Amino acid sequence: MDLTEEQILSLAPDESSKKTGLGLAAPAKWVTRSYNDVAIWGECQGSGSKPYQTQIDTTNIAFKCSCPSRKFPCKHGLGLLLLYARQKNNFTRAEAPAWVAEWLAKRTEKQEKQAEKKDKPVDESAQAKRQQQRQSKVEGGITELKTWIKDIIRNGLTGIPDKEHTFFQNMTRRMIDAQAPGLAGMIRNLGDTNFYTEGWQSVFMDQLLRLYMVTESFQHIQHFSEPLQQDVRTWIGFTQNQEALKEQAGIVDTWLVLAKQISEDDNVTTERNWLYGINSNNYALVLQFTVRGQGAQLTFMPGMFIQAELVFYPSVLPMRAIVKRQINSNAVTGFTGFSNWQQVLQHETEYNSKLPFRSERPYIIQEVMPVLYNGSWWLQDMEKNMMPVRNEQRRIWKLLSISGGNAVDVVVIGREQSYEPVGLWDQQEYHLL
Amino acid sequence: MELWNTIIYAAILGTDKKNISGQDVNGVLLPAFNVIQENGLLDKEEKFLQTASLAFNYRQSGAAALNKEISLAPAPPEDKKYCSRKSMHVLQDIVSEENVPLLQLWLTHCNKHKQIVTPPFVPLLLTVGEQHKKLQTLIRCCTGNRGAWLAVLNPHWDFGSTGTEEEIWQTGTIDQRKIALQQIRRNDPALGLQWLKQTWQQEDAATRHAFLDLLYETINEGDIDFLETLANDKSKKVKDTALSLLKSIPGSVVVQQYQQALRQSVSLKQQKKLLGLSNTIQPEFHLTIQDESIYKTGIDKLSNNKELTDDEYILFQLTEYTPPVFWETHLQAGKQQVIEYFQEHKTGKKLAQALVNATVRFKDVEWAKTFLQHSKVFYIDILPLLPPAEQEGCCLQYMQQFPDSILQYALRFSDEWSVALTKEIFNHTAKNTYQYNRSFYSNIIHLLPVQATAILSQVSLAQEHHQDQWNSISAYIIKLIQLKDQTIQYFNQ
Repeated sequence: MDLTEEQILSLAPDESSKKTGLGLAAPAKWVTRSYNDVAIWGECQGSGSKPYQTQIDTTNIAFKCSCPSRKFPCKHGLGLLLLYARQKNNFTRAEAPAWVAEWLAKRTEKQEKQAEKKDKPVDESAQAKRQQQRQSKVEGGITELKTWIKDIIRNGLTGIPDKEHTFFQNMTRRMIDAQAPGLAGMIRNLGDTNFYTEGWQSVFMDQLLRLYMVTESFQHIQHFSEPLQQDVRTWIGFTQNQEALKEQAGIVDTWLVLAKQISEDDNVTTERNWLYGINSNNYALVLQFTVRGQGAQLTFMPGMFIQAELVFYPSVLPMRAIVKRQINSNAVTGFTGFSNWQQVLQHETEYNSKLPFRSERPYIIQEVMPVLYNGSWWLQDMEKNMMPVRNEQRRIWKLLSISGGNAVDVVVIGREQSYEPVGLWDQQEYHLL
Repeated sequence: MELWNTIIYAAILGTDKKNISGQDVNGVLLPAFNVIQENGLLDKEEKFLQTASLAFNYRQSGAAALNKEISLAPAPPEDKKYCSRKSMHVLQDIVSEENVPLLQLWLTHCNKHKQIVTPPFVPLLLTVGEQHKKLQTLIRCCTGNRGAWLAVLNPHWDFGSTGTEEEIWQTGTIDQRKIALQQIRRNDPALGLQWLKQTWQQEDAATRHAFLDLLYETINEGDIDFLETLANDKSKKVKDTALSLLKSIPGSVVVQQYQQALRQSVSLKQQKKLLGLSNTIQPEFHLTIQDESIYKTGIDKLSNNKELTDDEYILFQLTEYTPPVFWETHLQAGKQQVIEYFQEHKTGKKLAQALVNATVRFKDVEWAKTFLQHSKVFYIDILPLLPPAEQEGCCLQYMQQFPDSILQYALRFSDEWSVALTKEIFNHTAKNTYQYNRSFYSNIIHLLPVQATAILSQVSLAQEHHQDQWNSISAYIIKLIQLKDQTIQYFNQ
C-alpha cells in the first residue's frame, strides 16, 4: 500500500479532522505502532486513562478505533495512516494482537455472510400492487409537471428570476408526493439556476428540456429497450435492488479512483467516486450515501488502484456501478486515455445519440496543456484543439503549477463543451486538483 | 448555433409571442421539425419543447473544440533544490495549523538553505502571500521559478520585483520599497537618504509620510538639511513627522533651541541645611522662555497632566527633546548625580520620566545603563537600549514585580527567549489561561525555545481548574514546538 498524504486527507470527514489527524501523525503520539500484510494498528495516548486502539484494514481500506468520536474515520485513524505513509520505518512488523485479529475476522465473516444472504421470500402480488400504485402516482405527477413546464414556455423566461422560491419548491414537493424523487431533484436544480450570470437562459433551458425529455420518455417507455427503460426509470427516481444487482456477474478489473466529489444535503453525505478500469477501459461512478456520524462502507482515495468486481446498473450507457467485491488494493500503474479532444467529442456524440439527457462523465485525456485565450483558461491537445476549463479559478492554478505549462495527462469531468479538470499525472504520480 | 439562439430568444418571449418557423430550422433538422409541426395532437408549447429538445441534442452532439495556434511559454526549470519530503510534511502541518509565525520560520529556513517547495504547494503559498504581506518576499524566494512564472499569469500573486535593493526601490511595490529603504538605511544611511531625495517629488503624501516614518531607526545629523526643507511640505502629516524627526537629532536647530531654553530655566543652587551647618546643592526649575518661537515647534503651553503645572509641563516637553548628555555639561555633574538631582527634587522628580524619554529618543546606551543601576525607579522603556543579554537579565529580575509589563516587553524580542525567562513567563501566563490562551501561544511560537517542552510540566498551579486548562494548553504548545523543532531539524539534515 503506497498512499500519498493528499489521498489520505481526502478521507477526512471535515477540515477539523484533517487538522487534528495531521497533529497525530507523529511517532511520539503513539505508544505502539505495528503492521502486517493486511492491517496497520497502533495505540494512541488520548485524554482517557487507557490508550485508544486504532486499526486499519489495508486490504479494503477500513478503520476502527476505540475512541468515542462519532466522526468516521476519526482523527486517530487518519493520524495513524498518515504516519504510516510518512514514516513506515517507525512501524514494526508484528503478528496482529487479539483486538486486531478479532476485528479482521469479523469483517471477513460479515462479508461472507452478506454474500450468502438470501433474499427474503417476496410477496409478488403485493409487490406488483405497490408498483402499480407507484406507476399511477408518477404518471399523475408527470401530467402536472408537463402543465407546469408548458406554462413556463407559454409565458416566457423573462419573469422566471422574479418568481418566489415557492414556485420551484411547490413543484418539487409535488414530485416527492408523486414518488418521483429524481424529477424533484431536477426541479430543485432548475430553481438553483444562477440568474445573475450572463446567459442563464441557455443553462435554464438545457435543464428544462432534460426534464421535459425525461417526462416525455416515461410516457413512451413501453417503446424502449430494457436498458433504456431502466435509464428513464432511474431519472424518474425508481431505485434498483442492489442485492439483485450483486447477483449478476460484474467486471473484474484494476480500478483507478479518478476523483471523489462530496456533497451534503440534510445530513446525508453523498460521495461520487469516479473510477476507471485500466484493463476494461470502462469508466464507473460508485455512489455512497452516509448519514452524518455513520461509517462509510467503502473507502476510496483518489489516485489509488483497487482490484474489484463492479456490477453496472442496467443502462444504455453503463456508468453507475456497485462494488460487488473488493479483492485488494495493491498499487499498479499504467492506463490509456483519450489521445485528443476529437476522440472525446466523438464519444460524446455517440453517448448523446443513445441518451440525450445523460449526466456528465469523466475522461482521461492525454497530453493536454493549459493555454490562456481571451482571458480564460483552456486545455489544448497536441493537435491544437482546445476546450475551456470549467470552474477555472478552483483548479487551474494547481494544474498550472504541477504541469509548469507542459503537456500532462489530465482527468476531466464534464460534457459537451464544459469540462472540469479534477486530477493529473506528473512523473507517474497522480495529483488531485 | 443559430437555431439554438432563436430558440432561446423565443423561450424568453414565450410561445404566446414568438414561435419557431420552418425558416428558422434548415438543413438536416428540417424533416424532423416538419414531423413535429404536422402532429395534430401537440399544442404549440409542446411543439416548441420538442423542437427545442431536437436542437438541444443536435447542439450537444455537434460540440467542437476550438483550434488555435496559441501556446503558453512553459515555466523555466528550477535552479534550486526541492525541499525534502519530510520538510514538505512539516509545511503541510504548519499550513493546516494556520500558524503564521511558524510558517515564517519554515520559509526562513527554506530560503536560508536555498531550497524551494514542490510545485503542488506553490499556489497554496502564493495564496497565503496575498493575505500576509510580510511573508511575500520569503514566499517569492521559496516558490522558485515556478512561483515567478505563476505570478506573471496571476496578478494577485505578483508580489513585486526581485533583484537588488536599488532595483526594488525603483520598481517595487510600496511595501517592498519600505523594506528596501529600511535595509539600505541600516547599511548606508547617506545612500538611503540620497535614494529618498531622488524620488521624493514623485511620491504622494501618504507614501512620503510612510517613508519618512522609517527614518526614526537610523536618524542622524546628515538628515538635518533634508528634514528642514520639509517644513514647507503640503502635507501636514509629513511636516509633523519631519519636525518630530528633527527633535531626535541633537544637532538640529530645534533641539538647540530647547537646550537654550533649559539652560535658562534650570540651574543649581546651594542651600543650607541643619540650621546652616551644612550645604546641599539642589537644582532649581524656573521656566524662562525668551524665544517665543519655541511654541511654534509643537511645545504645548497648557498642561494635559493634572500632576504637572503648565510651566512644569513645558519643562517636561523640553527635557524630552533634549539629549540627556546635555545635563552632564549644563549641571557639571556625572550621570548618576544628574539622576539624583532630578529624583530628589520635588519638581525634578516629575521631570524624571522626561529624562528617561530623552534617553530612549536619543538612544543613549550609557544613560540607559546608569538608569538601570542607580535609579530608584525601574523604567521599562529603557530596556530596548541594553544589550540582549542584559535585557533578558532585567526581564528576569523584574518579572515577579511587574509581570505584565515585562511580558509585553518580552513579546517584542526578535530572538528566542532563554529557558529561564520562558519558565518565568509560563509561571505567570499559566495562571491566566483565558487571557493567555492557545491563540496567544500560537502567535509567540517564534519566541519559545525548543527546550520549553521540558519546563511545561514544571509549572505548578495552586488551583486545580487552572491545572486542567494549562494541561490542555501545554499539549498545544508541545505540538507547536515539535513543528518548530522538526522545521529546524529537517532543514539541517
